[in-house]
Amino acid sequence: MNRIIVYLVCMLTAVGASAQINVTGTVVDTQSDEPLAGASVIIKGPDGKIRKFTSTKTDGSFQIAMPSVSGCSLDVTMMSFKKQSVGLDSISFPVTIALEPGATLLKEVTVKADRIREQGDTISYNVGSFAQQQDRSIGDVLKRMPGINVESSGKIQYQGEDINKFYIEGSDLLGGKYGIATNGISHEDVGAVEVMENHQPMQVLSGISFSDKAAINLKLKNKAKATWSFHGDAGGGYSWQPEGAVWDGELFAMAVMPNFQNITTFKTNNTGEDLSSQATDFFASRRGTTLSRYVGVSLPVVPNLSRKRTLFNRSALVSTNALWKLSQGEVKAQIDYSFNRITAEASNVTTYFLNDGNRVVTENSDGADRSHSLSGKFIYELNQKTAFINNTLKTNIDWDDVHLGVTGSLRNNQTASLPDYYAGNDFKLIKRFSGKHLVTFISKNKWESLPQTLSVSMDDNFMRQMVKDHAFHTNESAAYAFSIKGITISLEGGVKGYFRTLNTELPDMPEEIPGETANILSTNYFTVYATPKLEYWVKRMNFTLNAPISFTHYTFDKALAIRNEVYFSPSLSMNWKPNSRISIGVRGSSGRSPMDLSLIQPGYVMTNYRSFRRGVDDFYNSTSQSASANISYKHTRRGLFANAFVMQSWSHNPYTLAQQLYGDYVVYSYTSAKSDGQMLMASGNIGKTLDFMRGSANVNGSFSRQESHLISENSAVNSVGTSWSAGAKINGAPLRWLSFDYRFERTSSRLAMNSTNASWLSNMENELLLNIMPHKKWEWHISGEHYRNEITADRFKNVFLLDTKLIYKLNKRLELSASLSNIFNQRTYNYTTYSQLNSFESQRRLRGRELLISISLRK
Amino acid sequence: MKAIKFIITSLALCLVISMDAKKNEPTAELKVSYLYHHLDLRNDGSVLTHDYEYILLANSDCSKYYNRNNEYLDSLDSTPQGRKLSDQLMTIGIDQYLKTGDDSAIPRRKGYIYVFKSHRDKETTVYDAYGLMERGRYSEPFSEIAWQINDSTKNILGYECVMAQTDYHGRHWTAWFSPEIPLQDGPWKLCGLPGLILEAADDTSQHNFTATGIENSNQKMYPIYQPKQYDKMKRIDMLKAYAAYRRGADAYSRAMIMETPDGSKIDLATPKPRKENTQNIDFLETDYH
Repeated sequence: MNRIIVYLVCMLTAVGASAQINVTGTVVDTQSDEPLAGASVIIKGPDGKIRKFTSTKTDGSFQIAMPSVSGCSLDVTMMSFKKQSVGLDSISFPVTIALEPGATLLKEVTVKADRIREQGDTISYNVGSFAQQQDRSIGDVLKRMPGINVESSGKIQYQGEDINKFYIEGSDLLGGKYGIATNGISHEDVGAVEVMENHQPMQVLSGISFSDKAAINLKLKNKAKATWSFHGDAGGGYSWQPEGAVWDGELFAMAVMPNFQNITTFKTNNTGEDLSSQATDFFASRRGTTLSRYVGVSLPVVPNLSRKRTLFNRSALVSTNALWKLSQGEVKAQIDYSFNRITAEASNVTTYFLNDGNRVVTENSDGADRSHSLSGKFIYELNQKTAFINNTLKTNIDWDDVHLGVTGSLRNNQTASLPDYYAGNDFKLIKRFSGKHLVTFISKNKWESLPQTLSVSMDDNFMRQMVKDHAFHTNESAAYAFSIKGITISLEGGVKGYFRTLNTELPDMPEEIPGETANILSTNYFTVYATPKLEYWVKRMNFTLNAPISFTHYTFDKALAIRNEVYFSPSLSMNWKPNSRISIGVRGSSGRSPMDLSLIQPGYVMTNYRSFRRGVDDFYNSTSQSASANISYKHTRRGLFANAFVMQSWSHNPYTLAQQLYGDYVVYSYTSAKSDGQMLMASGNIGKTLDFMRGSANVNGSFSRQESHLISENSAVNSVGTSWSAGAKINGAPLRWLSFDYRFERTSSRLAMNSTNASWLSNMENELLLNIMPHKKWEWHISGEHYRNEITADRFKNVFLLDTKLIYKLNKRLELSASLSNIFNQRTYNYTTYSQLNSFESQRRLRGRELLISISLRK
Repeated sequence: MKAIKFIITSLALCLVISMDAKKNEPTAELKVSYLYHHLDLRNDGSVLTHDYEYILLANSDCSKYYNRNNEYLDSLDSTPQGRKLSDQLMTIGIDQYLKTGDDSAIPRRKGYIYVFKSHRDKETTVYDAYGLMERGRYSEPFSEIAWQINDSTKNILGYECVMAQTDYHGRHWTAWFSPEIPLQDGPWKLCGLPGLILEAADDTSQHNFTATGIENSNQKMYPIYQPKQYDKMKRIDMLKAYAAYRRGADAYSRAMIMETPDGSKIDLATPKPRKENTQNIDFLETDYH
């Protein structure tokens, strides 16, 4: 106050002493002529520095006294008006300054709704603050959030662990098929991604049973709620290899309403995007029927290159998923159909350097795999505090026809027909009484049929393998649990039944191979089991002890003797959260378990044109132990997430895999010899937000070592495979017109047989995408991928692929784009390896240059 | 967790509905987030650093400066239904704390202050806490801050900013404002420069404000919830009362804890003697001494 008085006094004396200039005037709106209050009026000197300033009064007037105004200028600014600047040298006062309306252009820096916020166990990521211009789906943005990892299939991990639920506005519409959402929902429709740590999906178990898994919930923006939202892309173009027309189309519709949710999507392409994985159920555990295919004809693949560069496909996927909320519970229906036709070609030339001249073996393979899959899932679920009911009916039919022809020195033709028929129903009921007592009933029934036919014609020989494999599995159980003072004790008891018949026939077995070629077998068992479980909470720790014990009666329909077995496999886990940032878990388990029943198979089965497989002719049990530890740390305000995991496991089997060559044929069988294996796995991951450029960075590493035994050509082989990988990712928008994504990965592996070390082989991959936005309506992507694959020790194969895409945004709804991928038109992936005895030349095809013009629409 | 989520969602919904009803509130043109960083001296002599996020909503006529989480909790406390939900949130938080020792779910307030500025009346009105439950308000004219504009410039969030200094209520402040953003506003009570203040710090570095985000906005500037709870008082008196409360906070809470409703006694260890406040860490305003 005093300072002002002093000023005023000075000013007044100055007025008296010399001629003070009174800069006065009024600021008005050009359009209405109304006076503008609150406008900033600044007098700048000839050097552009602020001399004096004020703001206009309610009547738009202002007054500033200046000793001299020569060379000075008057700036008038106000929000929502264009700045006006006038020189003061040649004007008289009072002056009227008219401001023209106009948006005040802000260099916006998004007001962080905190990029990451934390409330209790829920961590909320603000989608807008992580999204970059080049992102389309919410999955693209999830990848940038530290602590979250998204695989290309859409599968999500949080702090190194798979999530256990995926919600949209709190509803579990898709179950484990949430890849449809991560790859489909536009990130512009999502306001926030919430991660709920220690998520217990069944409310009835909350506070009783601990969960170390996290769930994800998408919070949609208001504009995407209570209405249908659509977006679609349609693109067509030309490809240089495979030569011809290419297409890529997608239609995605979503409704999120209070009592109804629906996601329907249709996708089709022949541009190398594998769609079949997008409808995969990530939560599916192995089917109770435990059948697996004997026959396996696989098409040649190109190793260590991104799949979209090497996949020659025609794919289509239709998926519709609906959820209705009833007054009690909810009903869900999910229907999916996918079609995939994949073709592959490869040629290998092996030259053997022999004393009497070189011998050349050529092998050109050309194959096609046509698969259809149709599945339906119908669910009723009631998820309340006192009761949980879930009934899931699932049916699934797959057809898979593979044809692979090989020309050259070993001419042959393989045709396999591999359909799969499955139906299952799971029922689960949990009731909570007086807060602390729980009663559970479970009934699971599954049936599956897995017929397989493989026909091989080789020169004049013709072989046909037929397999009929059926199984029915039932599991009925009841459980009781109660909780007192942080201790929950539960006991589950039940019965399981399993009925399986296997019929295999191979009429024309090559003469070189001795042994049976037919299996007629039924493997049945009946189990009574009990699983006591104890959970204890103390301070910030949770201890869980699981001690399943079971008695099983096996019958093998005279093929093998009847067996009665007792199994006990306890596990103990501990989880400690010393504070809200750190979580530490330790887990150990040990146990005895029956062998995989599909290994009981005394007769040979032809699995492809040159390999045969035989299982064991007796029943065995195996034992295993494992210990693991994990630690995770997060500091949400700093946007720092880190986790590390280490696991060691041991297995002891009384049988060993043996490999034997008979002429050109490889025969796999099992012999009754002890085989011990062990595995060490370790991984770590650190993610951090980079707020200064609205980006994030991530570094990760992993190591694994696997030791196993097999018998090859009657001699024992101890094989040790060691591999490690290290990777880094960084993305951001350092400039207003530029954003980028960079990824680096290096893997290295080595196989040692009987302590003879082969050399390390490494693969390195670099990928950089630059997105340039010269104008609001234009966007230009340029991306390069570089691979450096070590074929043999110190011999590297380099591949560099360059893509570009130009996008024109007509308006918010409509977007046109043109993309050119593999600009250099690299069509082959060839390499040759040499040894003292032979050279091996391999030739694989890559997708060639491709031009695609697309139109994208959204509502 | 589900319960918390449900509560928050339904509450947010209630809020949106009730907010829609009022239409005559001023609309902001600009939204700015500030990080308020300050050092705090505890009774045992230790120094704690605190970071609070504040939002400034502003147009040429008026502005509102507040903490979002605090306003959210105030909105809960303003209706009976909200209080019920607030109690539930608290219960869930405490349950979790007792069971796991993890107190992060207990709803907490961070930053009680609301500052409303009226450019028409050239007046700032402050609503703040001055005790555990005590709330007060006062107004002061803009003219209490007189700035000296300096020649120095620096770039903040992509804006060329000019330095200005002032002595204000016991502290010497250095502020950086951007003439490119024609709003004579800023964080806390700081305002009156020909451009938005994006950074301000006092010369002891105990208090500083930094803008972390800035965007166009059309958010409504709603008035404070339950204005009647705030006693009208003099600024100096409010600061004095708050200082007295802070000095005696330990004893105050002891008294609260020991007087249990059912008459049972809780034994607490005798309080440690308070160490001397040697580090001269104080409030934003120190002219109450």
